[in-house]
Amino acid sequence: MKIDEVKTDMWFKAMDSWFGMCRHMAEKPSSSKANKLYYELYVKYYERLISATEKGNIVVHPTSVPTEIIYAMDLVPMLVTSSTWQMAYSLKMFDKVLAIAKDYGIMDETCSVHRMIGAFAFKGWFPKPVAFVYAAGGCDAFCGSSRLLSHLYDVPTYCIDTPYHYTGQDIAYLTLQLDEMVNLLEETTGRKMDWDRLKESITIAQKQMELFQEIRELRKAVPSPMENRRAWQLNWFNWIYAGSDDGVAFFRTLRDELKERVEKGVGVPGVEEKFRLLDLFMAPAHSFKLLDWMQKERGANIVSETLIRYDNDVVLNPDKPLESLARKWAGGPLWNELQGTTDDVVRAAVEDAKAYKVDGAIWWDNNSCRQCGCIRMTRDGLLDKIGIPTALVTCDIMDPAFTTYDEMKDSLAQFFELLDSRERS
Amino acid sequence: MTMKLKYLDEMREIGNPYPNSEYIEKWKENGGKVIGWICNYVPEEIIHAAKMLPYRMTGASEEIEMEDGDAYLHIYSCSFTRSCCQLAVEGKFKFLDGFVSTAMCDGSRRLADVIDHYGFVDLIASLGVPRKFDEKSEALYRREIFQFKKRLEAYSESEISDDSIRDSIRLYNRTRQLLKELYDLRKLDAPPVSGAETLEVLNAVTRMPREKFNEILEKLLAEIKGRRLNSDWKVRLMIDGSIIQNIDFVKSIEELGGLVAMDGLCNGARYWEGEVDTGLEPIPALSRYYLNKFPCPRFYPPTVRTDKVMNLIKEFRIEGIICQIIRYCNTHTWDFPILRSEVEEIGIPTLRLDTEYGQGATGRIKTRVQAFIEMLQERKVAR
Repeated sequence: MKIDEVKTDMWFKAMDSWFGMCRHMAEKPSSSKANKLYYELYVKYYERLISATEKGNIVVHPTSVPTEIIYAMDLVPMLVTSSTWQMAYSLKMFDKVLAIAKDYGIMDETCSVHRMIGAFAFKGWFPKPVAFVYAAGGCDAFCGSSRLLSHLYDVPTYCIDTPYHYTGQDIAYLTLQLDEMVNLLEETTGRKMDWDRLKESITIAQKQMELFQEIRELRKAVPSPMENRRAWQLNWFNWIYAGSDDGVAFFRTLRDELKERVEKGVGVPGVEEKFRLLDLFMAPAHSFKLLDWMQKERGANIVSETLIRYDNDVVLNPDKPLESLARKWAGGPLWNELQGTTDDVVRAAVEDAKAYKVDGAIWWDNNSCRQCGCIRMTRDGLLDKIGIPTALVTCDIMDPAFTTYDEMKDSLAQFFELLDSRERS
Repeated sequence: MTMKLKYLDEMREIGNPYPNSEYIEKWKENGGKVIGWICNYVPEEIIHAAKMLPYRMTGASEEIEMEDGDAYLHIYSCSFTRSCCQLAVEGKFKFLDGFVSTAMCDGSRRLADVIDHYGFVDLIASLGVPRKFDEKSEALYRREIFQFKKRLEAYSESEISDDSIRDSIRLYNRTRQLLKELYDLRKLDAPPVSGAETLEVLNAVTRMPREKFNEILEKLLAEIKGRRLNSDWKVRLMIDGSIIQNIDFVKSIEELGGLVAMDGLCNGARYWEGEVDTGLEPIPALSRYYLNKFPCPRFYPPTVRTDKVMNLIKEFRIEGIICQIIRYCNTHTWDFPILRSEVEEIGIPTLRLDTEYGQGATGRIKTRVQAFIEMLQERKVAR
């Protein structure tokens, strides 16, 4: 089965609603500079995507591939996972979309992000790209939905096979594949790689990584200066604005904002820090307000996310752009942890828990996520090695009906009680 | 009356009870070492060449309580890995001297992590397996196999020579030839061997020394060839999926009139298909063979696998496919819509069965299979 007709009406409808929400957030009088810029840039990213789609220009779907490459070829990337979330969120059609996935044979026992990707693909609701490139890493659902998307849209595809280990030879393997991907994109789109532009974006990406690390360092301050939901914003921009001036602008603005708070010895406005928490997994995308609630109402600051970090030894070299991107990918947010062993996850968690002086950790126990296979070891690791308890919050990353907002809140409230009693004793 | 197969009984006796059979106990008493492996992409030849017994780690071949498996691996891991984990926590794999895994899927990755972390069995290696079929992937996999060999040498404190790997390749190729012979018999209009019996052979192949297995299978084949089975089946089926070991599951399908003529199972045709090229250096030959056999659905592009299934449909005159998906197996979950769309284009219907690993054919499953078989029969009549 292939997609006969691409119907982007739903997508455009979702965009309208999304833009409205972003503009509203950016214009809020209480919005900080970084917050304002975040929403403005989000709108800019999607406007560019819409324009490319409307003009019949080139749109590729680089799910988890280095977007520096796409930009350097003057192509417009569309990140499938974030677009899926954005579309589902804007349309408020969670049930309907998940039911579509089921109709097409994608059962409930797999992650809802990917079920939604499958549903949108079957319906032809994503714009049709001239080429599809994806990295087969992270988790099986990621590979599965990408494989299906490529099959349904029937466009030239490149799959980056991500190795399990990361020795020099594995990096060489990854680098060779990035090179092949560039060739495929050149052949299918007629656009040539601008190697100078790519080198330049590597220099920018290095700056971006440094700012990213600075932000992480600033969060070690007591009280911690950053809003809980901000880390995921950083993560998205780390992909969609990778190696770009806009990305640097956002990171710098945020860094400055946090630095100022740290210098003044104040935390997030209106928050009295009570607990410092380590976030071990992905919070439900439909309920980020939960992150706001715990911070504002309970003084629970998330100070680090083990999924959103770089290995310390990642340094980019503009003279070796593809190899640099392979290293950045392998040692960067999400993939270094999802792809690696659980012992790596435990090591990172214990390291961060100590460095950020956390009181507790949260694992968002996402429905049908195979990474939950790491939960027991990570929880045991944190408790046995440094006495840090972990809350397991049952949720579904995309489906708000799976666990209600109040149920999640209750579950967190119980955990805060536990932390309270530990503090007292 | 169906003639009993003496040599199948012998296989059954050696391989059971699983996991720790008397045969294995004796093997251990005589100083033999046993290395567990879990995924088709672990080259058993290397273990055999190290003079150790490769032994496939699986879960129990029936549904069991998995309290520990759920606790260590979480219920969102597939029930095959949780069943393995359950047995590991219960100490059922204590007889293993080591364990080898791969990073083929999230389940095998996390199972290896748990087994290693909690020290249920010593993890010798977890091999990274590429997802593609090209030369670069072969080179990467070659290095993985080489590293695995080094680790095993360090573990066993003895060198594994190229000549001994060559010998093991020859021995394992012989198994592949014999299993092909067995499968070829199922192409006949009235196969002298059932799908359920074939599955018993497949269960046995990885639970005993290969020399012994080949010897018995040769005799079994002679026995089978002189036998006639009832041929009142209604349709010819293929079972696709990850791993099925419950004989009753297949037996029930056959009792309903569905001749299980072929499979695309991880412990079936995907395990033995093809042969290692003995003209090449041993490790490159292994790398090439393992990466190019009937692929697991996690490989890219999917057409390699679907083309393979299409060929088997023709070769074995398959009329319908039962796609058995173990709960929480992502790899097959995502492959199913692709496979279904491809085979339905050539008029082959599919029946998707979501089951727990080890599950037999329950009433509900039987009803669905029966309806599927009836539908296939009607189509036949309509033609």
